[in-house]
Amino acid sequence: MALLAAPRKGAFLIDSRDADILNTRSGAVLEALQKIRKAEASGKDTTRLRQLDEGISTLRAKGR
Amino acid sequence: MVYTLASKDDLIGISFNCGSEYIDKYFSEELLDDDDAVSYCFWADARKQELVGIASLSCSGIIIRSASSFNITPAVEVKIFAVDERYQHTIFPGADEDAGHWSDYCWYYLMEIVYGITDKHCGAGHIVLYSVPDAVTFYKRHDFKAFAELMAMPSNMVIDGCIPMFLNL
Repeated sequence: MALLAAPRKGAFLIDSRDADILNTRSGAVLEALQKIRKAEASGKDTTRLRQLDEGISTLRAKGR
Repeated sequence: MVYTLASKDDLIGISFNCGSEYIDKYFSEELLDDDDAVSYCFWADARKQELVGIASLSCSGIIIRSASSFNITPAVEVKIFAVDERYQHTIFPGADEDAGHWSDYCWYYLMEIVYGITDKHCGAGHIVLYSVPDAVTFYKRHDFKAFAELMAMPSNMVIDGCIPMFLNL
């Protein structure tokens, strides 16, 4: 899989009757930060780890 | 892995070959000059000698259409996301028990970038992109949904086989 996303000149369109699907949170950002935090856990950059921890805490507090 | 904004200095002498002629050309000719996108580089480590992947982000939106009006909800568009051939289908060395690939970790770092933008600079509640056909399962694994599968009406076009998809942040 060489290329994962490609530029196309098309609009993203949804019918208003289906738009409720846009209102559910995915938790994808929280998962991403947790994966990064785990991968970088053995690193020595404590500032960076603290920054990731803060982001994770904020997202958890927001229920995301 | 580390990521940076794409910069001329970092990319001197750096090769990138994802296997797509179009993207390899974009990398060599347009990456730094594309006014419609901001590009990021994902490096194997802080020495920035091996380029693992690239991504380009643009402002975008999802049009919500009703019988009498159009509304737009803001989104970030992943215009390009590509991984170098050397790192495709290869397990990321720092991966946890899920044995994620380099492409997965490029994606996680891209999510961190998007979160940094939407949390502090320019709000948006969604990521949108056109997935190449082979990558649809990759994005579904990362919680994306294909517009066409969800719509009561066929309101989104598949362009050149690429599938419009979205992720709610």
